[in-house]
Amino acid sequence: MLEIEKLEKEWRRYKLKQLKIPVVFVSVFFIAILLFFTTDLFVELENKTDSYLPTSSDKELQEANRSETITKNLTKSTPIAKTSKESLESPAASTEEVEKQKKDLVTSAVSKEKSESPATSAKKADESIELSPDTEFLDSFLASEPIQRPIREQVFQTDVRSVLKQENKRVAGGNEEKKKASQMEENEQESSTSNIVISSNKTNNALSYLIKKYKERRDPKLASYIANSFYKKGKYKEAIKWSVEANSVDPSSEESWIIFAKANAKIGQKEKAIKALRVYLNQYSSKNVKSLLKSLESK
Amino acid sequence: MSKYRQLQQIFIDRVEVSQYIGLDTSILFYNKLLESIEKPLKMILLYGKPGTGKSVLINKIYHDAKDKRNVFLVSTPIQDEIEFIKKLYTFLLPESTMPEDISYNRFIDICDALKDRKHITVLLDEAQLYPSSMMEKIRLISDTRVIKFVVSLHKTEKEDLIAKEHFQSRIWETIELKNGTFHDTQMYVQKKLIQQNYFEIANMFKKSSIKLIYKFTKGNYREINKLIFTLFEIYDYYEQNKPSKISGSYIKDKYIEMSALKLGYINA
Ligand SMILES: Nc1ncnc2c1ncn2[C@@H]1O[C@H](COP(=O)(O)OP(=O)(O)OP(=O)(O)O)[C@@H](O)[C@H]1O
Ligand SMILES: [Mg+2]
Repeated sequence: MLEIEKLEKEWRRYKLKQLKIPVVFVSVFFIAILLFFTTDLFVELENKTDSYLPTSSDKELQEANRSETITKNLTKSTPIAKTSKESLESPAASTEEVEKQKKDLVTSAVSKEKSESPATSAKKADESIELSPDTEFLDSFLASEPIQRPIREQVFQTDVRSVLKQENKRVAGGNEEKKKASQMEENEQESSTSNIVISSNKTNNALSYLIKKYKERRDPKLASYIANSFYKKGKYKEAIKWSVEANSVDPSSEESWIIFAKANAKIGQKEKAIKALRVYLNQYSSKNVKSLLKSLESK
Repeated sequence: MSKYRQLQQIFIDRVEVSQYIGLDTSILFYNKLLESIEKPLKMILLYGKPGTGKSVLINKIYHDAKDKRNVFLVSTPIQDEIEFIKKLYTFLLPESTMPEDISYNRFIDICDALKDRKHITVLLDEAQLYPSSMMEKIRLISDTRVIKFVVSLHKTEKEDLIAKEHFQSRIWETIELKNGTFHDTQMYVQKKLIQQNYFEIANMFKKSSIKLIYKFTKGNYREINKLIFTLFEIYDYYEQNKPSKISGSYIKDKYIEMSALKLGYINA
């Protein structure tokens, strides 16, 4: 029964650990807020100095000579970061925990900023340099914020463009094959294809949204719907998977059997499709299934 | 036996119909399963994670329905084919003497002969333990529609079965058992104690205690059993050695956390 005594000791350790986390977290949170206001201030300062520069006073010129605005921010913020670190280490918190909390700080700080600034890059910078994580964070934060946003937009745009190009090629090719009159103006074509891209993007998102929803609700109708969507997109394997899923929740659902059969027929598994429909008809009667079976058998 | 030792016994993992507790979700599943048994299905699949109450449910159904509805139970799998067939035979034709040369093929013939005249339901617990060849035969037997099977098994096995054989072979109704909700957890703990007349102990489990228990066990009944069993072990120790420590009128979070530590739900 000494075991219980040991357990109690263990429990005390557990409680201590639990206690420490909020203390560290709260202090780190405050520091995060503090840092924010200071960085905001710096940004303002930066703007001001920029506008003042032409008619600058000596002091401002000296400062400008000494360093770029970003490094200025760096040097100014280091003392704060250092003191924050000291205050953190004082309540006997392990450095590991401090580092963890700092990471939280970075993410929370970044997410607070309205723009979607690069949380991951800030994190990485934070991880790589242990001694001055706060300044690192500020560095990447300030330096990358104005630059990275346009970059992301550019990447996105080029993505869309390349997709558009491919789509154009496809459309053009299709037109040639079908030998339809292809006297549409390029601009028109482009706009029409861009519509296609956007709408297909939307359905992709809708589908992944539906899949997520299904995982929460397990509604067989939803699974059938997803199966049907995959079928329409020509993803027959996926359609089969989802029809099986729909059926496992509600075996009597005629729709799941129909999609299962149709998708199987599409990938050359006609026998399988016919067999499944017969099994279904053994149990339930359905006009739709009957007519599908007929059409499959006559092919 | 000391008081807490007795309390521990209540939370030993045991499938005992007399100790069945009607929880919101378990009643739901109970009705669903009874409904399914009424339907003209060949097989019903009951699945869920370990400790969600499949065996308890299947035993309760058996207990309640055996007289009225010709329901039979095989609670531990019979691995030997002939033994299994013999068992089914006694379920189906309890009065007649068994043919000496009973075999699977022979049994199918018997079933075919009984078609539309006799219907029984056989509950198979722990069905993941049947070899797949046996499962195949069970399915063929169900095809005669003389015996309907309720197959209870763990989750992963179900997914395999469904994916591989579902569409080609049979129509299954599936019922998935899930962990209890917070409310179920509360009802489970308190009703179990009240069932054994431990009213004042049941009253010691305040909402905050249940919250903690739910957090550690996620509403899985087997885990709840383990946690409370350990909790009373700790209480028993203090009663023997430091009674002042457990003098309060409610269960201290500390002891629940100590139980969770011991069971490895949390780490120091
Ligand atoms: N409705 C209930 N009433 C009383 N006890 C229950 C109930 N549901 C679950 N339990 C308790 O939970 C324990 C675990 O349940 P059970 O053995 O039925 O799980 P299971 O789903 O069959 O698990 P496995 O997949 O491992 O066979 C039981 O021993 C029982 O003590
Ligand atoms: Mg079981």
